Amino acid sequence: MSRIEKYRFQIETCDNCRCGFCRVDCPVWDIKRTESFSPRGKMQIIRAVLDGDLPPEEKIAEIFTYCTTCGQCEATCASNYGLVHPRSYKELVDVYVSFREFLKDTNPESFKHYRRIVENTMKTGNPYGESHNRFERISDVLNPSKDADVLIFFGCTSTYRVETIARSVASVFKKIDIPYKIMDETCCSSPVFRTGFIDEAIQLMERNREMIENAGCEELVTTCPGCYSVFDEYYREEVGLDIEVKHMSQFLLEKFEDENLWSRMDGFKHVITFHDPCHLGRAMGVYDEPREILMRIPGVKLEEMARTRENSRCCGGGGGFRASHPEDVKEMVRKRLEDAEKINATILASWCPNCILNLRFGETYKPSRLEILDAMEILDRVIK
Amino acid sequence: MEIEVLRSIVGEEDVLTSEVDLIPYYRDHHRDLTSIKHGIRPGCIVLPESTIEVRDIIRYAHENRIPVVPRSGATNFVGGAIPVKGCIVIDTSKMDKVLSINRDAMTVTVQSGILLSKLEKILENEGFILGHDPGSFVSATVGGSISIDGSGIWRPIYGPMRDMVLGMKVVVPPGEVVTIRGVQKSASGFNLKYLFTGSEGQLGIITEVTLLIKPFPKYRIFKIVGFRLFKDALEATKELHYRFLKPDLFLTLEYKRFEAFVKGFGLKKPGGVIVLGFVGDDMDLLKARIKAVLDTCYRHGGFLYPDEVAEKWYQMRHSGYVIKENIEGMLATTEDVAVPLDRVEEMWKRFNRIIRKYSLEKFGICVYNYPLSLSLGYMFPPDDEGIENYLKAKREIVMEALKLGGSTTASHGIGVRNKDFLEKEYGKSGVELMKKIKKAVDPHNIMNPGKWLE
Repeated sequence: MSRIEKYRFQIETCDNCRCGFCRVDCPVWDIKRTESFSPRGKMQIIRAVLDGDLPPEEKIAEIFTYCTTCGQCEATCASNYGLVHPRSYKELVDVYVSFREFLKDTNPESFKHYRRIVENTMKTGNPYGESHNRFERISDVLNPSKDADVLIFFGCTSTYRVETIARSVASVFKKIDIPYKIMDETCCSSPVFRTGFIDEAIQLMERNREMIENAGCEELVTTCPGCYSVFDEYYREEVGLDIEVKHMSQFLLEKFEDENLWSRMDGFKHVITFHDPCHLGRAMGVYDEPREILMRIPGVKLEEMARTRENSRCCGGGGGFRASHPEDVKEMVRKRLEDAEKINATILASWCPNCILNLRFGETYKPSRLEILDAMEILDRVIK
Repeated sequence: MEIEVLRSIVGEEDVLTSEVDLIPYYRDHHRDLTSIKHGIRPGCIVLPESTIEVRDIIRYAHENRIPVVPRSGATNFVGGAIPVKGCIVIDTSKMDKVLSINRDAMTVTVQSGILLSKLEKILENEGFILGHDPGSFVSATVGGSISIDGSGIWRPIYGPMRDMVLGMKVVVPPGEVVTIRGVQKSASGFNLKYLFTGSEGQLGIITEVTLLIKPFPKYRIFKIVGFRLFKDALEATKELHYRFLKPDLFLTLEYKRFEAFVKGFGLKKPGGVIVLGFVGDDMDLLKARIKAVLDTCYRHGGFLYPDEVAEKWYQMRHSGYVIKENIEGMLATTEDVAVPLDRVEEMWKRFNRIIRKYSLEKFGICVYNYPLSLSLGYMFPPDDEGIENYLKAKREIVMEALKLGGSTTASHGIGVRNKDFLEKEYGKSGVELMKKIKKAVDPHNIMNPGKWLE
């Protein structure tokens, strides 16, 4: 049975219902406005293909590249609305991911951007195809220990694309003097898995699982929500990884509390608005920890955008969307920057290298008065 | 059909013709259509962005005798947005702009494809509320709500949708724009506003609407009163009507309809509940109104639920039947008949008998008050036997309502689902009159054909 067949119940239930709650805040429907690009329309298409009423042609594959895996459809789904019957964020996103897997081999043209990501990752260990060592450029601040309970997984985007975040992670850990281990990372598999290349993703998971287990640490900490959600959910299911996984915000909040590190912070007089990364918020339910840390920096005032937390607007940076539809991403990120502009803030913060990369990419064509910063970059500025 | 003509009107990208783009338009939210095999293939989809574009499409369709089916949220229960073979579906999803807010006149003018939920967010930021909150609030549109003459839970204070509509622009065959001015009251000629309200796209397409907005209330208080028996809840309901005590939100629910909302609270099971809402700026006035209503309920054995249950009910109000579907894989539906106040209890009894007769599962009755209508909820498995039983039960339920002096539908409309009942409700002469009106407005029968006027 193919992976998509496991979701028959969800597909048929949605196809029978067709209430369309899912359309309302879907970032793709927001720019396309046609049913076939809406979550409910996609469910009808999946069912038609599975029932043999529609051949899995190229046009369908193209439609299914239009999903950022943000999980907003799940959050607004009538069955989930009001948390009566809370389902995992994964349920609907997994349907789309599994259908990508179903389509990928028969529709090479639509999946060519994804395939490039996968080939890069399998060859070089990162989706960007970079060949240099990921820690090479931060070696001056990197100070791993041979004996530590914590294993930090830096992730590809912070080490290869937004190096200031990787640098800030190393710098903050140095300043607060927490020993940590690192490993010869290979991509966590998030972009490979989410674009539907499940077999390849599992190979990557196996590579990392072995290294994680060999490191012998108690906790695995990531600053990238994509890595975090994949480790905490898919690694357990697919390759049986058994380790406590934390997002950096969860780990640091505990440390700051336990060791009263708040007093080590300088004042930072700014109004900050926080953009919830989809894979941290809706996917993993982590909303409060980043806010708690930012709010407790002396001088910081936090202001929320109209769409926040469960209803946070996706910036368009996930699920392989930026690779396949760069022009559409511009529209999505523009909308998110406009949300932030409406707030009387000086900084638009997030806690995700991928969101930061995308928001800064947006800023190159839509200049913003806001400074776009990852929470790790802020912490590196304020911790003495 | 010349697709190029349509493309010249709305643009290349806004005409869809490929099979994959058409499939999600084969059906709407109508419960009977459980597979695309039951749906109907349209000829193409067009997504206009303005009244002028809609006018040009209708002009072309009228000249060439091509059927046109309007569609927006497609959340209606009655198949009102189901295509006919080879038709042009006009999807108003791109007509979603707020054109103006006049704070002093307390009006908002919008394009008809705007979602109710989006509009309310915009209005709330401006300190206003529209107050149309049906079960489909999240994904339904202003135009759709007018077209089926919908109503929501705040109807006692804000009225059903028709009371919120002041003016509109409607495109009618042969491609003319009719403008109805946005005033609060007009006795000028036939009341065209009400002619188009509930016409389900069979006379024209509503493209712009001016709506009455109200100040966003400072306080919004919810109370839920439980009753040992549903009958007691009905008695209390009747007394509230007889004394014209009018809460701003007033629903009487059988426990089945309510149980999902109290899950986890560990409270005793009632037979029925009355859900109450009060809005306003003056707390003393609200307290006095609440007391008068609650005292009436207590006289019928009512007991008050904790406030957090009421708050939770309000938060979850749109999930209703869909929850059950997702847990049990059933299809849920409701008959939204209206009967006179003194026949509500009898209708409830007859409904129960029909449900038992066809071994269907009930999820309960809801009495909407001011104006009074019923929602009779039940579920069936989406297989051949389930659907057959459902169709028989549906017919009997509506027929019983008609026998009790009632009406087929209070808010869902007729569409294809309820078309057989129209003549039973109005008689031949009533239906003939409607058909004459239709023929006068749309002589080639291009506007949403295949529905109740055929």
